[in-house]
This record gives sequence, structure tokens and C-alpha cells, in this order.
Amino acid sequence: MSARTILVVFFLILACMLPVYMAPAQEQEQDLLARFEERVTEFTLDNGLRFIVIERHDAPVATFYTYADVGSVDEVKGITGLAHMFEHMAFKGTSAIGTTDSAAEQAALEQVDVAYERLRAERHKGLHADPDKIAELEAAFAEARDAAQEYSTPEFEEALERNGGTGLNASTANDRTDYFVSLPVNQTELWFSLESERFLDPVLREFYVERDVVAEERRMRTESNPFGRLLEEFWTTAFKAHPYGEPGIGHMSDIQSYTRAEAMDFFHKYYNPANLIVAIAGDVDPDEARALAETYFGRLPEGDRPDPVETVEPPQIAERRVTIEEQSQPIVIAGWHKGSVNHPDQAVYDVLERILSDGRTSRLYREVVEEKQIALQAQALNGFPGMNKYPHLFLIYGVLNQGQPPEAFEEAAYGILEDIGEHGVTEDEVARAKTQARAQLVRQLQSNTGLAVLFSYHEAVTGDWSDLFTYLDEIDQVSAEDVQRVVGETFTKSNRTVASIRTETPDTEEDMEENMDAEAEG
Amino acid sequence: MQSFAAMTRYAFRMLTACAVAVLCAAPAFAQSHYADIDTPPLPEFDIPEPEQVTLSNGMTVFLIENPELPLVEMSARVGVGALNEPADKVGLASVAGEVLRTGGTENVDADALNLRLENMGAQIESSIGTVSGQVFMSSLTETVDEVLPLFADVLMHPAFPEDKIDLAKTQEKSFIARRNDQAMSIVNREFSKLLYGADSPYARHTEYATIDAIERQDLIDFHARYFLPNNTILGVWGDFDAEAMAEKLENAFAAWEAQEDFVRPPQPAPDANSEYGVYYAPKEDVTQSAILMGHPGEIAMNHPDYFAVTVMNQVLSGFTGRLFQNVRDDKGLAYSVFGAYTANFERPGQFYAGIMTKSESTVDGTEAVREEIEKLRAAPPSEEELQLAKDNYLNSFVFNFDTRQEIVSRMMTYAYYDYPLDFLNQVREGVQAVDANDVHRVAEKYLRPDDMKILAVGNGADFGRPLADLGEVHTLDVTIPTGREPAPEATEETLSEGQDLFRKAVEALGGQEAFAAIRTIRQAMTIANVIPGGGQMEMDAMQYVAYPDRMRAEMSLPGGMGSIVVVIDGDESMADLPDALPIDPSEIIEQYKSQMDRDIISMLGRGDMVVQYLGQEENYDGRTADVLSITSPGVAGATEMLLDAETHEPVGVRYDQGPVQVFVVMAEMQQIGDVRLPSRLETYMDGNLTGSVELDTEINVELPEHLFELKTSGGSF
Repeated sequence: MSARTILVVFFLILACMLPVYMAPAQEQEQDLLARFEERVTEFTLDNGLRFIVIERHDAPVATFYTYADVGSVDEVKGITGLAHMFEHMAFKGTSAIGTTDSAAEQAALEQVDVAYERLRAERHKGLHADPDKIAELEAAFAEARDAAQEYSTPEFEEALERNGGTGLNASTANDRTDYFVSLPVNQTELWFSLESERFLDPVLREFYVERDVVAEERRMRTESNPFGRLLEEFWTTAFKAHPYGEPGIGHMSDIQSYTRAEAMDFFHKYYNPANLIVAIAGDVDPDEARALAETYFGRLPEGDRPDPVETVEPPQIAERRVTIEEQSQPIVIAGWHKGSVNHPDQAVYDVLERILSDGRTSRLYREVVEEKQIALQAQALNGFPGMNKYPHLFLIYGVLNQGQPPEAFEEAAYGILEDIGEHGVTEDEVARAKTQARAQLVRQLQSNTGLAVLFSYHEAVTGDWSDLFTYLDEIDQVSAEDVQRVVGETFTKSNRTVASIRTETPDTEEDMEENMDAEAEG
Repeated sequence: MQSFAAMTRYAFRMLTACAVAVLCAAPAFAQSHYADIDTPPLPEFDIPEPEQVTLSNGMTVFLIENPELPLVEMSARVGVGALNEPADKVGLASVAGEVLRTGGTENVDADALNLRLENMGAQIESSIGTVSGQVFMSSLTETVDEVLPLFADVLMHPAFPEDKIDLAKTQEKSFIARRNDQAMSIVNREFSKLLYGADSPYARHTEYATIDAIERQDLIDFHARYFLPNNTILGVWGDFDAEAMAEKLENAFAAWEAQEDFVRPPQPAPDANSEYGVYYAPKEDVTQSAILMGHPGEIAMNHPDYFAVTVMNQVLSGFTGRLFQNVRDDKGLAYSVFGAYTANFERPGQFYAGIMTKSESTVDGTEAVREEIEKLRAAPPSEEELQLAKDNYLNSFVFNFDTRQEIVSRMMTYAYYDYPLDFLNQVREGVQAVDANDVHRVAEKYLRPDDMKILAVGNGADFGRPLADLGEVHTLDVTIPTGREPAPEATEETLSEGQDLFRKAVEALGGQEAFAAIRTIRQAMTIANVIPGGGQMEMDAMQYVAYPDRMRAEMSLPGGMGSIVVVIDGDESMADLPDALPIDPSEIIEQYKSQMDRDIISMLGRGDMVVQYLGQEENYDGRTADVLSITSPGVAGATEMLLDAETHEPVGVRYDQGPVQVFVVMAEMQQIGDVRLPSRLETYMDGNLTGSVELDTEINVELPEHLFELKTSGGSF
């Protein structure tokens, strides 16, 4: 052994034994919380709308973020995808914004509805429908739609972009819909005016063209994307009762048949102020924000908070599997049912997720990616498919390396879980997971958008934004025994749903066809 | 305490507010329609300026303090990219960028590095892109003194261990295998090749062969050549004191020596010429086509027309741009539609526009996008459109300064390309001065729809209108090459050397006469198949061969699943399989046939083969082997035979079976009668061990005729 090698080895031993300086976790969280507490102002309007203002006076900009406590989980069969459709419509303006002539447009839109209802009624006759009449009604509908479109302008989007809006967008998840934009702070009142009006008096203009846009979105995300196809098969298999099993973007037939009236009903039920949270992060004065909030959002009429979803997914009694034969390369998703985000073991699952796949020391990375080279990517995910308001799934998925079959990934992943179930995890692994949880939180606090998203999410699902920091204390309480316990409870075969893509080779497909032909002839 | 003046102002405001309230009988603050709001000016804002220092080894550093969160982050930009890798080793930059971090350093091995960083919740990540390399570090303030030396070590002394290089290469190959899974990935890749040519450094991409060609020494050389302090710019932001941090950096990088004569090679300018062409790449499993159209660009960012081009892009793109408004919102043809004329710092960019639209509207969607391009050329934008485009850019200008990271990152970019550090302000002033005629002028000058390449990836059977409506269609073959090049053209020299070596091989094993005298063999086999993910499955088998063209194989399956019988008699064949076995009989027969063609006994006994010498290669066990390419009449494709360079004994046979490369290693040679034959075979498919066979061979035994009868036991035919 050369002197140099000895030195390196000594250095390594020393490095491993050196305790990394860490202040007691409790103290740090309180410190982090204290730093933020004095910068956070929260208030609730008389109509129930909650505001969280997080001051950051770094630059004269702010992120404005509306969290609507509604998502695809609130849909029923026949209108799947409607929460997402409404999100698209919320950019179309109001009776005073986005039109060249509000009254004339209103009349034209009613004509569109009438024409569409006629067409729909004929289509409902199914096989008995008269093709000539359908063609005639389609033409009438198209004419009415084009006539109404003459009045519409992209004024809502333009008003934000013209005034320096950046990152303008919205998204719909299973449990929430959010709307966001960042603006220079001198446009604060502009945002209050536009955003409050959007939820006070929306006009769902260009509805039927936007349905086509959403259909294209579905083709892009789901139908023409192997991973999208697999995901849809996965969650429809994993849930048989709870609406988490429905695709958030909606079934194609629903996208192509829901009406403007149905979207408006959906809006009235779910977009009332008690069901909204607004988070503003940036260079804003909370007193001014409060005055503006009362002036603008105070206009929204009070409403009842909609009932939560009452359907409960029954315990799964047998393993469920779905395999799709694809031209694309193999992917495996396995999921196990678990409690909601407010379940007392939530922090334990978070620690488990990190031990399994956070970083290069994690178990899945070390064994499945690095040593056995089974997968290009192997990931655990505590919380699927939604923002996890309701009981959901713990996920493990693998994107396989060339030439590796799905079984290889399953075997390795289950082996790791069995090992944890039998032998537990080490204290080092638990400690590392806790350190990483804290570091990740600090990194998320760096951007205005990150702040707005985190604060509103915690306010919505736990009822208190400061849970964002105290949750680190919960993580700190997690022990190695806890992790072993939940693994034993959760990761049983009968609680598991597995979906995979198996690569079909064009050759074997041809051969099979030949065989089938031969059989048919024989 | 409030001053008297302030109190007076307050009282006055209350008074007027009340007066308004009484007059209007409305709330104290009235709502305004958005257009009526009196927008205050943007508050004065001192843009944080980074400090710039140069370390004694020549490394440029930008630092900017931000005490808000207990976090220190930094990023090194190194002047190296895929542009600098040799054409036959495409992927070298990517693999080097990956293993720089994953491989650990000469002082701290990979596992120790991972453990130390993650115990601190710290991150170091590296990558090398087309034109530059990045190494990023993020640490909580309390651990920065531990993390910074590791960051410096990764930059200066990467270990590039073989195992992590192999891992990165395996992953690169998996990306190749996956590159046709998504229509968007096909269209992006192939479009670049159409624009720049398949060999251009801006379009070429990895193949199995280019990844296989990458060796450890390549990574070491690549790093040594480009990772230099005077080819590196460092940006640092977060919770620190700039002066103290500069000193820490000086110490951390003290051992890194500049190479004074180094000059970063400039980025070559691609050819701007383009000819109109319509291209199609088939993809059956989609309901939506992905379409790109465009041509190479002509100007870099420092061209005076860049400002007008910037405004033109705003008119075309974004939420309020023409593509979104007309093609998406009015026509409902797409969710995703986009386009821009790009420019780079050191070379021109490209003009591209694209749409993802249902198969049926592939041509309509393409035409709708093209129409918007034509309209930009036909007339100047309206004053209103121009104003919207300029306002959008100018009013969001402040977002260029809202995080320290982007301020530092921009400075690094300008310094890297030798641009003035206030370049962004020049763009702002330039954009302010652009008028509608400028936009029209650059649209006419730089957008060339008649020179565009148009590429559609999708399911041609469902296209509503034929793609040929756009012009003559060239169909692209996007099949992924297996990575095995055809043998080079044979020369007299390589042929005679090949025959010579082949004769030596035959001699080494007993001579051609001895092999030609073998009429039959009977082999008892123990087959061990490797099950992916671990474990193996054992089977016993018997094989009978009556040369030249008859054989029978019997294999008993494990677990009482029954047995497989295959008989081949010249062109006739049959396979008898248990019904439960989900295997295609013709596939099995095919395998046996190709195996018979490569049977060592028949090969060594024949005199009608063309043998070509391909050269030497290092074998799996580190020994040198001569490689022969053998073709024989009636056998499709070439078979490669590897001979030990010293003993001339064959050590393996290699051939393609569909897209898979099969390599059979011959081991444990044994004397049987007058010849030497292997008693063990190991089969590798694409480099992975898939099985081994122990052989017990007898030669010239009497084989009863019924063995070769084409008759199945169950009579299922």
C-alpha cells in the first residue's frame, strides 16, 4: 500500500467518523418559523375568503396565487374533466372584459347553447339518429358558434401580459385548481380587479372551441404518450370506488359532450369565497393588500363550502395488475393504498420515501440503478394521484434500462421493501432523511412562487400554513421502528396495484398474426 | 411617533374618503374596472450588483450576498461541450459530465462523496451540454466549509472510475432505446438533422456504436483539456460575506493551475442554406401528430436586427401571440402551438414553428401555422399589436432582476461570451425603439417559408388530407441502428490474411480432414438460463446432428412443464411444444437454424467460405483476439469468429439475431477423437450473459433414422 493510498484511506475513515454539525432540530424549525412568522399576515374576509400575504421586499415584484379547493375529485361520471375545463374557461374574461359588445354577445351565446342542445338531442337517438339532420344541425351549430366568436377578444390575458405579467398560467390537480401570475408590484390593484372579477362574473365564451383544445391536450398528455396511457390504466385499476380513479383530464367522450351550462353549474357550486385561498408573496404591503382584498374580493357573494367527497375506497382484497403491450420501452408502476395527508403516519411515509429514493445513498438508487442496473430511474412517491386530501397511494415506479424486463424491477423493489419489513432501516438512514427534508424546505422557500404554493397548500389541507414548519417537527419524531411498522402494514401483496408497459417487438406481432391466420385456416 | 404633517395628511385623506362615500353611497374604496386603475410608478429599486473578482489562477468569480435563507449556492460554468467531442464518440461530453460527479474524486470515492453530501443535506451536480458544462453546489450555511472543498475536488480531481463509466454508458444506451417512444422526441431530433445535416455538431446524436467507443482515457483527456481555471467562470449567491467567501474560494482552488495558452474553441457557425422539403416519420401508436417546420437562422444576438426580431417573436408567440390566439383559441386545432426566431450569443439560431394536432388535422394544422408566418411577412403588425408586444417585454423587464441567482447567472453568461455586462439594458433600449415597420422588415428578411423543412411525426393512415398536399413527401427511417457496422470492403490482403488465420485455427483444433470426417454427433447438455434480475433456470437437453443438414434437439423443461422437440431436415422442420408455453414454434426453429449455420464443426469442415480478416480486439478476459468475418453460401449475414492471437484456437463466435447481437464464448476445450472441441459454451446477448451450456460430445455414433422424422407427439398440426 503506497503512502498516498494510506493517506486517502485515513482521510476516508476520518471523514466518516466526523460528526456533521447539526443544531437540535426543534430549535432550527422554530428559528425558521420565527424568521417567517413576522413576515406573514393572514386575514379572512367576511365572505370567508382567506388571504395569506408573505412579505419579501427583495425586488418590486410579487406572485399572486389563487388556490381553489376543487379538482377532478369533485367530478362524477359524465362530467369527468370539467374542473380542468373550467380552469381553461377562467381565462376567457367576464361580461365587461373580453368582448366587443356584451349584450349582443350574450344573445349570440344563447343561440349557441340552443343550437348545441338541438344537435345533442338528435345525437342522443344513437343509431336512430338521422345523419342528414345531424349534418344540418352541425352546420347550424357551427354557424352560431362562429357568430358568437366574432364578439370575443383575448382581453383578459392581454391585460396581464401588457402590464408585465410573467408566468401566467393555471393548473388543475385531483384536489385543487390554482391560478397564478407574477407582476411588478405597481400592478397589485390591477390583479385584484381582474382576479376578483374572473370569479365574480365569468363568461364562458368560446366554450365549444376550447373543448377541442382540451381534447388536443388529452391526446398530447394521455393518448399519444406511453407514460400517459400507462398512468391512466394504473389509476383506473387501483381505485374502483373513489374518484381518484378517474382521469383528471377527463374521458374523451365527456370532453366532447359536456355543455356550457354544466360548466357554469360546476363553477357556482365550487367557486365560492369560502372555498378559495389567495396567497401573495413579494414586495407587497399587507395593509394595502387587505384594503384591496375587501374592496375587490368582498364583492364575491357568500356561499356554502361544498361537501367533501364521501365515497371511501374499500380495502383492497387482492393484487390488481394491468399490462399494456406497447412499441415503447418498459415502465413499471406499483402502488399501495394508504391514509390521507392528515393521517398520523404521514411523516413516517415521507421519511420512507426519502430512504427509498432521495439521493444516491437511497436504497432504490443504490441497488436498482447503480448495482443491478435494472432501471434508468427508480422512484418512490408518497402521495398519488392528487394533493392527497383523501386516502391515496404510495407509489414506486421504475423506468427500465435497455433489455431489462418489468419483472426484474418488481422483484428488486419488493425485495427492498421486504428487507425493511424484516430488518428495519438504520438510524443513519432516518437521520439523513430528516436532514434532507429540512434542506429541501429551505430551498423551496427561495422563490415567491414557491412560497405562495407551499403556504396556500398547507393552509388548505391542514387548515394552518404554519404546519409547513411544524411538520418538520413531526418528521423529527419519526423513528426507525415507525418506518419498519408502516412498511409491514402497507406493503402487502393484496394491497398492491401494478401497471407495466411490456415492449412488443414488431416481429413477434407479425408471427402471431401468421399463427392466428394458420389456426384460422386449419 | 407620527409627525404632525403626516397626521394632517391622514386626516385629510379620511375626510375626502368620507366625502366620496357620502356622494357615491359606496364603500370607502371603490372597485375600478382594470383599465381605469391609476397605476403608480414602479418603486425605485437598487438592482443588486454582483462583485467580480479574479482568483490568482485566473478564474473569474461573481459573488452576490443574500442573507434571507441559510443557504449558499454556486455554479461553475466550464467552456466545454458536446461540440468539442469527436464525431465517432458522440456522448463523450454527456458521459463525462455525468461521471464527473457520480464517480467521486481521487480523494473521496463515489460512495463516500454521496454519503457525506447527503448527510449534510447538500447537493453537487454536474452536466455537460452542447456548448458548456455546469457544476452546481447547494449547501446550508452551516456546512459550507465542508461542502466547498468537495465541490472544488469534483471540478479539479474527478476519479472517473470504470464502474461508474459503465453505468453512465448503460444509461446512455437506455436513452437511445427510448428515443422513439415519444413523438416529440423524434420530431426534435430529426428536425435538427434536416436543418443542419446529420453530422453537424448541432444535430448529431448518440448511437450504440458511439457510446461503445467511449473509454475511460477519453474522459480523463477531455477533462484535462477543458477543465481549467482560466476556462471556468464561477457564480456564487446566498448567505455569506463576499470578501470572506472570495478568500475561501482562493484557498479551495489554490491547487488548480491555469494553462496560459488555452483558448476556448469558438462555436462553428452552421450553414444557413435551406431548401423546401416535406418529411414524414411514421409512428403508429399516436392519435396526434407532432409537426415542426423551419430553417436555419442568420443572426447572432449581437446583430442590430436582434431587437426587432425579439419584438417579432412576441407578436408571434405566448398567450397573446398570433399562434396561440388564431390557431389554438379561434380554430381549436391544438393545445400546443409555438414558434420563434432564435439567436445565440456566438452563432445564429434557427427559425422554428410547431404544432401538435390530431392526426386528422395534420395538414390543416401545418397550414394554419404556415399562414401565420406568411402573415408576418405580408404586412406590419397593427400599432396595437406592436404596443402589446413591446409592453409585455418592457413591463416585465424587472423580472430579470428578481432573484440573485439569475443576476449572477446572466453576468456569467455575458462574461463567458465576452458580451458587455450591460447587454440586457442595450436590448431594452433597442426594443423600445422598434416600430411596426422594423418588425415587418425583419420578418420579410429572415422568415423564409419557401425554404422551410416541414417534418410531421404521426400515424399517416389517419391523416385527413394527404401530407403530399404540402409537397413531395420524403419518409424518414428512424429505426435505431443496432450499433454494429457492416464489415469494411474486403481487400486481397485482408482476404488472404483471413484464409491464412482460418487455416491455422483449423490446424490448431485437429485439421480440416479430421473435421470433414465428422458425420454425426450426439451431445448431452446441461443448460443454465440466467433469469433477469437474478437466479437461473436449469434444463437438460440432448442434441443429435447428422451433417450436413439434419438435427434433432430434445429439451425437458423444469417444473414438469413437459418438453420441447425440434427437428430440422434440410428445408423441412417441425417444433413440438407444450401448449402452455407462450413461445412461437417458428421462433425456436429459427434459433436452431441459425445455430446450425454457425456450428463450429460444420464451419471448420467446409472449404467454401469467404474469410476476411477484420483486425485485433481485446477479449473479455483481457487477451488479444484476431477477428475474422466469415460468409458462406446459403447463410444469411456474416459470422465473426474470434481466435486467440497466440494459439489460434477459436474463443468465440459472434452474429446478429434480429436487433440483438449474440456472442457465444467457447471454453474448456477438450480432445474428442481427432479434434478439439469446447465442453462449455456461454451465450451473451447484447453483452449480457443469458445462459451457459455444459456439453458432453460424442462423434460418429450411429443415429437411428427415426430421430429425424418430422412427426410431433401430440399431432397438433
